[in-house]
Amino acid sequence: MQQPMLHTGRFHFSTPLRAVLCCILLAATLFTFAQDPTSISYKVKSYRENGIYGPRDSKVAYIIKLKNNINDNQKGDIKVNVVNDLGISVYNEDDPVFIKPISIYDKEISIDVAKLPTGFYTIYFYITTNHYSQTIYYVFAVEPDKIKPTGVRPLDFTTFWDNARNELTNINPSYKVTRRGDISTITNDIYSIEFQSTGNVAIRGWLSVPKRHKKNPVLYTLPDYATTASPESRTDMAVFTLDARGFGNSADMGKLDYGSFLTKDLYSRDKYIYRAEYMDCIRGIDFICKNTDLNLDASRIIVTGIGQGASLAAIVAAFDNRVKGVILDRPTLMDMRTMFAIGEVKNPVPWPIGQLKGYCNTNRMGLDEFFKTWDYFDPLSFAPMIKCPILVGISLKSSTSPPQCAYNFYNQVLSSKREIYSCADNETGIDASFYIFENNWIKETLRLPF
Amino acid sequence: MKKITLLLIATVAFVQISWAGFPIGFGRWMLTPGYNFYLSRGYWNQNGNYNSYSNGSFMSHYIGFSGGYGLSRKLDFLFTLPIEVQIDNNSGGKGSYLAAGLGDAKVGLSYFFTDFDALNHVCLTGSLILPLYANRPSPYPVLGYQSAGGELKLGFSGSATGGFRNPYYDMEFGVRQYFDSDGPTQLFANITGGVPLDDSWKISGTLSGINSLSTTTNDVLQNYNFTKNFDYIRAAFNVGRVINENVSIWGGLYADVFGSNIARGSGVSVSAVIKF
Repeated sequence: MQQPMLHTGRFHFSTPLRAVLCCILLAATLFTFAQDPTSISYKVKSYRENGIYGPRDSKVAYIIKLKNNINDNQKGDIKVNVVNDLGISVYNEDDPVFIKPISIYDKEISIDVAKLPTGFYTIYFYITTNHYSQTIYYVFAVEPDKIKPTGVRPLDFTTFWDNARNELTNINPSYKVTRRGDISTITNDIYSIEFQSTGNVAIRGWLSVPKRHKKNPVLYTLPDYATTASPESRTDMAVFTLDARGFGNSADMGKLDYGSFLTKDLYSRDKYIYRAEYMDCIRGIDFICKNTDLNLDASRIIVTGIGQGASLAAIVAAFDNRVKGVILDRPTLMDMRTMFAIGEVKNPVPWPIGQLKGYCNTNRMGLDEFFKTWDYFDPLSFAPMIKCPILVGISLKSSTSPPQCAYNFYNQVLSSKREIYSCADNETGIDASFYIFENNWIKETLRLPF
Repeated sequence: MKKITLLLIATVAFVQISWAGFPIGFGRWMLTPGYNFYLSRGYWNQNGNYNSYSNGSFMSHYIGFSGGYGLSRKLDFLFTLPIEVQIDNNSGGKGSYLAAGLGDAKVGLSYFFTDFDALNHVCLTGSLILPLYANRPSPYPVLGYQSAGGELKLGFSGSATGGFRNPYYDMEFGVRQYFDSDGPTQLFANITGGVPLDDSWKISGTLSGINSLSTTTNDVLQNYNFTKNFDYIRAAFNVGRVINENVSIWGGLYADVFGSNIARGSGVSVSAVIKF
């Protein structure tokens, strides 16, 4: 009689051990099937495509469609969990799921809006069957324009910034404009720009001007965090891009990097890097207005930026009424108090919370002390000063540019023309449709031809 | 009457170039003055067979003042005010006659279903047709049906970014109803495709068709001026020159290619598009 394989050789497995091994093999097999990501394909459609629910909406709703792609019944459930900004669960639902082979299951998950106070929420769908396991999430907001504004504006805020501006005024800008024939194109002249700003630091940038006889409106683009500027061209507008001090061509004072810029001289509100950085950006507007002979129309300036650039654009628009419109694309470093409140409960904790807390710990600075300084620089403190048309683009899923912060800012802007463009399902960027909207918005605001 | 109808369609054709089915923009104006010349030397009978006029021709001059105003991002007000000169050069063997005056004015609203962030647009346009003339009795050519009417059309338009020079398209499908007891009811379609050759020059082609239906079944031979049952297809080719970001000028040729119970003609058109 042939010996079973397990009884041959050096190894002998007892019956109980064999049972355990079988169980392990079975569990491994089940686990493997459970992780089969192709066994179900799903589609989730939000009742409000932009994720913003207003006073006319009676419910927050998502339609989930699951397609069973395999020749086996799938049985399980969808667990729904809605959490608020602070990660506290405010709604739960558990729906059983049974899907026959190559069939579709659909289910509307709806939540009575009356049960949700104004604010932002994350809805998680935990989909589990005998072959499939998936967690997906969406962010939505209930009447975010009614969220109670917060923010702490220091009592001497105006004096502080008047002093900063006076200091800038006393510095000779010494504008230098150099046409760069090597990178100019058939349609656009490219210039390298230099001017002196706070601390007599040379700030440099790029200006691209369409070659035509008429004056060009100007799109003034401010730098995102730790990025360098490059020439950007349009045929209907001049584009002026700037390097932040310490980056790109504005690094005569010494190069800064991703880790050092945010906290440079944070110990003193008078020396903090952003005090000078804000003034650099304002001097950029001075440059445009003083150099209209470059075919620039100083009466039609739009200031814009992404991330940190958006916050800088907000500051420029707040300080300078020569700006005719401002576009904030996923602003960061805005409403830092809210950012900390909602960010610290997340895993991982989003930038820049960790960096700032690290700085505070190293320098024995309490968070209260940090906020006392930051409140002078937080774009939130500048929001009521913005009077020109404003467009804010937000991604609800962004953790570094939280929509909560952008909305808190937006709700305090007093401009008669203000719009917010919300993208509900984009974690790493913003929908391409925002840029179509933005382009049309610029044309509408500056009365450029469509 | 058939010729008049053709002229109206010619107007639609050049307005098509001007608007290209895109929203005008909130608070903006768009004006499209234009001129059309039309010449016919024959006709298609009810069976669609072509015959030359025995002794003469029919021609017309059309000056149109069309325009629009953006009431909002999604709603445009549109208008057309035409002046027509119709000249029957003995096409029916009855001598030469001329009629001139205002034509059928049109006022309407276009509603765009698509949002401000769309590259492709869907719009519904409703218009009223208001005759601003009184036709002289036969044998003078008429300036129109001398009947009020209404028009409803659905438009699809858009442009592609990237690809070959950002081409654009505009399609319209609609129905026009004159309020006379015998109509006519007209089903029409215009399909335009265009492409910028460079920053200054554009070309476009348009295929337009109309099917006119009425309880009055005049034969084109019985009464040239009052045919209400007909159909035809017209092809047009246009070239546009961008003068500046606010003004462009278009010129084009068009010709009728198929039809029945209607004159066959061809012509030239010139129009300007002024945005401000």
